[in-house]
Amino acid sequence: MKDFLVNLLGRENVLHESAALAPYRDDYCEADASDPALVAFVTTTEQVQAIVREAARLKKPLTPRVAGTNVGGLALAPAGGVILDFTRMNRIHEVNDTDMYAVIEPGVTQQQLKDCLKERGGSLTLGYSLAPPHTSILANALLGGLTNRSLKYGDQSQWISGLEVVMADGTLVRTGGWALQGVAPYGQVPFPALTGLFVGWAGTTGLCTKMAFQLWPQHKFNRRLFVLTYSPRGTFEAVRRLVRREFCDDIGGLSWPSAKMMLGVKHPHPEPAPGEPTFILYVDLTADIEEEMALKERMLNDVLASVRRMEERIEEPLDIHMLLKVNPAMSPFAEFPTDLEFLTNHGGGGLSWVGTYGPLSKFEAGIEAGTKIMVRHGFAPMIVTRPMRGGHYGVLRFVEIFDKQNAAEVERVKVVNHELLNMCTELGFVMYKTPSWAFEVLKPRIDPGMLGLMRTVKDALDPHGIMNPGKLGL
Amino acid sequence: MNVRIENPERMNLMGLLMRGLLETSLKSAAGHRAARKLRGDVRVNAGTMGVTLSFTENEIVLRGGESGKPRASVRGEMKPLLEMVAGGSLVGPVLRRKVKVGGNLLMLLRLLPLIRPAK
Repeated sequence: MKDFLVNLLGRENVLHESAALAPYRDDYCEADASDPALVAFVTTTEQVQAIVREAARLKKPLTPRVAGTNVGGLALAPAGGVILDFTRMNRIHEVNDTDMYAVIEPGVTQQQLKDCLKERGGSLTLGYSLAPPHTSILANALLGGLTNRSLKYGDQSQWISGLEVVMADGTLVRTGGWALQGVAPYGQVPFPALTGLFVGWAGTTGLCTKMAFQLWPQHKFNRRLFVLTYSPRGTFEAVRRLVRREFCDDIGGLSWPSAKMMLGVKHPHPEPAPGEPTFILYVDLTADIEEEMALKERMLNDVLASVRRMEERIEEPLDIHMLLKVNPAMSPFAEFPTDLEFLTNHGGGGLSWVGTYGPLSKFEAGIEAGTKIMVRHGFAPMIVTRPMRGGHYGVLRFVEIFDKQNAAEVERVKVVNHELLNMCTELGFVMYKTPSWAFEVLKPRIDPGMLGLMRTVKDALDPHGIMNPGKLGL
Repeated sequence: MNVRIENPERMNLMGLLMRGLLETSLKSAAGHRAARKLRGDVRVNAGTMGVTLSFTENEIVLRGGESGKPRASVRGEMKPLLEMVAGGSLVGPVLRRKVKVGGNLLMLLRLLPLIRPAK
């Protein structure tokens, strides 16, 4: 395989020495490290097709990878496998300002597309995940990740309007708007929704080499307001009332440890300080005229006042720019995409989470139970929440940072994540970007018909089992 | 002149915000001068969070909650307090009783260059 890759890509685009492969052994999370045999930097669809054909012939596993910022081991290759690094396959093929979509390759990053849209006049925006600016948009979309436009439009997979996929035999498939020649990928067409064969599959059914996806209008005025709340009930009653008024662009909730870490405390005590807010909600408002913004602010205050009448303590909204004047350490939350260095650059190197989607009605119960679990294991309860898709569901995510070199700490993360996953599942939350360990935990609860169909689809699309094997129990 | 938080892992958000504010202010000559002249404790209560600032010759120590006997105090909800700090009116919120001050008012006046960041 090595000679084939060197011939195809050139020596400079193939890594095989252990020192060069080291960054590909693991990601942020607690998953066991695994040594790939080779890493290949691809830049064209034709190269990917050729590699897949050769891998199928040799029955060599292929694992796609871009930024390496996954926290579930999904881009780790099995020992001896080949990693296809898509970071250099990063062309933006098209931005359609009128029909509001973009066509991008896997290596296109959040920052890259943001800069591109800005250069074009800034009439459009995309949603940004809380992952670093160099994160792949395509990977987040294929894994059903969320962004700061998910309150309005759902997770990023719901914005995909077309995929170009290299199948396990090297053939090329185009889905969505691209299914009909001459049709622009403005949205899903009324054909069978085969894009779904590659969304949420963690690269186990094919390798996506191009994605068309929807962009959203960028408004003239933007305000980010922080609201301090003092109980889960008050927090999520406010969230549920806000989403039904349909005037917020984004509502994010961060539990108190997240704010402390941003302000320089590496390891907050698991218990809050006396009088500490429970959550910090950040509310994004946008408008095209000043009167519209003023009305939205009035509506926000009206909703918060209605929750205060339930005997809940909620502070008045604080503008991010005012907070920045008080303490510039808040700057990571001033603009997205952002690098939350307190998560990725804390010295220990480890970052893990149990991130789930579930109904807003269960958020208080999930937070209460999850907090108890995290505190019992000595973790400050770092929790991230956000209502999605108009409030039909939301994300509830429990985050831990840890020292990857400390075996006992790694073990503690595994234990706490198992408990959190079981608790969340009991309450009706479903883990997204599901790591292999979590899929095994969930397997007994997954409908047997669904599991059987997954296996049938996998066998049909990837008969030699070369596409990111081991993920999703496949 | 240092800013030190006593037991930072347990410090409330208000105290952590104040640390950044004080560190920024101490970089200016006016802020540094003001800090060197101050001695004793000032208590700040923002909503349900309390912080005590202790001024000594070489450092400012922040303690969570109430400790010692403060020479002066400032109390209010988070928003009016932060608006004052961020450059808003000083007198208005006090006259409207949104922010309440107590104790040695001269000491609070001397504190101003430290809690209002240099432009």
